[in-house]
Amino acid sequence: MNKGQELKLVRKAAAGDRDSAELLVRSYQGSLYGYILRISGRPDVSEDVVQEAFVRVLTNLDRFDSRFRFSTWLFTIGRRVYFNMREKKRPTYDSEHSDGWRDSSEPGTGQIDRADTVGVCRDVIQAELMRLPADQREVVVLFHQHEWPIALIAEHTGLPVGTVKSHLHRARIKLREWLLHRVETPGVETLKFQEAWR
Amino acid sequence: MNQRPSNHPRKSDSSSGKQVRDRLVNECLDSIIEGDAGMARAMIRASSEIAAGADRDVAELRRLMKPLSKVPNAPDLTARILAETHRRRPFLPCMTRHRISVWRVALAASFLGLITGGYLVSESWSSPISDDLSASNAGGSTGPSTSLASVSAAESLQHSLFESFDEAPPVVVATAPLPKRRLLSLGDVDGFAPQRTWKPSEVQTDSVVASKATFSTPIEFGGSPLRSSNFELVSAHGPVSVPLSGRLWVGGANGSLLKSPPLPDWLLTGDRYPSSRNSWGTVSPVWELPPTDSTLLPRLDLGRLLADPD
Repeated sequence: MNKGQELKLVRKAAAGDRDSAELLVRSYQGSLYGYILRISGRPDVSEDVVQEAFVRVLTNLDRFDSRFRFSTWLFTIGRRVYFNMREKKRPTYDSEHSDGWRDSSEPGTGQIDRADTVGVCRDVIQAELMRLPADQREVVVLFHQHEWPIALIAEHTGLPVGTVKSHLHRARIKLREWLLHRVETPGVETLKFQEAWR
Repeated sequence: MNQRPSNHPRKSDSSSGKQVRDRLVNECLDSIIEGDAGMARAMIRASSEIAAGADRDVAELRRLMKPLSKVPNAPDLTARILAETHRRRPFLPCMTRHRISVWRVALAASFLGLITGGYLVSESWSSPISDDLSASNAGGSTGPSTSLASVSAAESLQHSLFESFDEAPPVVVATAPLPKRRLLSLGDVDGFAPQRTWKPSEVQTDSVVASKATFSTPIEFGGSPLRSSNFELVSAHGPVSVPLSGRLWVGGANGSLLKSPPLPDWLLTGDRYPSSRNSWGTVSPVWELPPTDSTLLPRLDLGRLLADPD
């Protein structure tokens, strides 16, 4: 979806058009969910954050600044919601203090089928991502998963460009070391990882 | 990652070479994502001495990071999101939303108007009472306008006058004027009390009693009979008869005042009265300065009144 289409949808949704709002949700819920899932490692947390972020965005569409991309705005709000929730519900929402994706493998009580999500969460790279410090993890996810430019990541996270670069470089070195270690170590997870790698 | 310039003399140990190579790999990956892969690769080729294997490292790291580029399958939260959004802010056409806003503003404005109107009406109702007070003061002169007129009728008010003569505080006189001339209420007294300044004076009190009151007998203060020569209830606005319908109860060590519908203002004077700090809290200080000679005030013989209360 290009910026023009996005803006059109936003305007219509702000004017009370439910279909446009639905299209916006369908277009961006996946990427937001993936972002939060990667930085939190928790599918249940990600669902809560995605829902709350979208609700906040949709109820405040008239405040949307058309100079920016909708996705950037959405991710900023999602990030804020996640950090707020993590602060309020620590340690429940804090992936640093939980088993993260392992805990989330239990079937959900809602109507959401999490089978695919759990499968992805259990991949090795997610496990290694969770070993990274939170700020490095977020930078890696935004850069490699969402392919955001470094300048945009810096703006989004409120960090200087140089800091973002150094986070990125350090995280890559660590990930490379850990992932290569996994590849060289035989085991079920390694097989999965190699599967995903191909 | 602080690297010296490539032409700077340095030790060509393996660790620094690895650092440079790591940096090159990172720069290359950044450039690929940022859409400038050609520049990165050219940079690696140009520094072939130290970049041996950097190309391979780039490819390896890209493969390692490849699973990360797969966005996880997200559950479909659309229905939940839209329902919650609709609950918080219904999907309504702009015109309808605008109408609702206008209605809300109108409702708020009318509510505000209602409150203001009610306040004004209550203000206008309280004024005639003070007018009645002035009118009922026969021979009333240019006396003070403050009173306890806004005290509701038949509201009981108990005030300790004093514990005993010995415990009586110094004779005091209210000297601080009211912030502005207006009707006093009981609540006003509490708020006003800290602003009062007191100083000893020959005059016992210049407070105004706005109450329909009569006096029961016998009157005793602290167990001693009232020294009527030193205790007088005088009209604030001129010689009038004491109304008989209300009652001022005085007895034993304490006295209390039972309020009734407001009537003319009265001054209570005497050389040792009142002595309690709380006794005349409901009494409005009407004189900015105490009268130098209380005999100048119109007086009413309380003893005579008490002898024939009916």
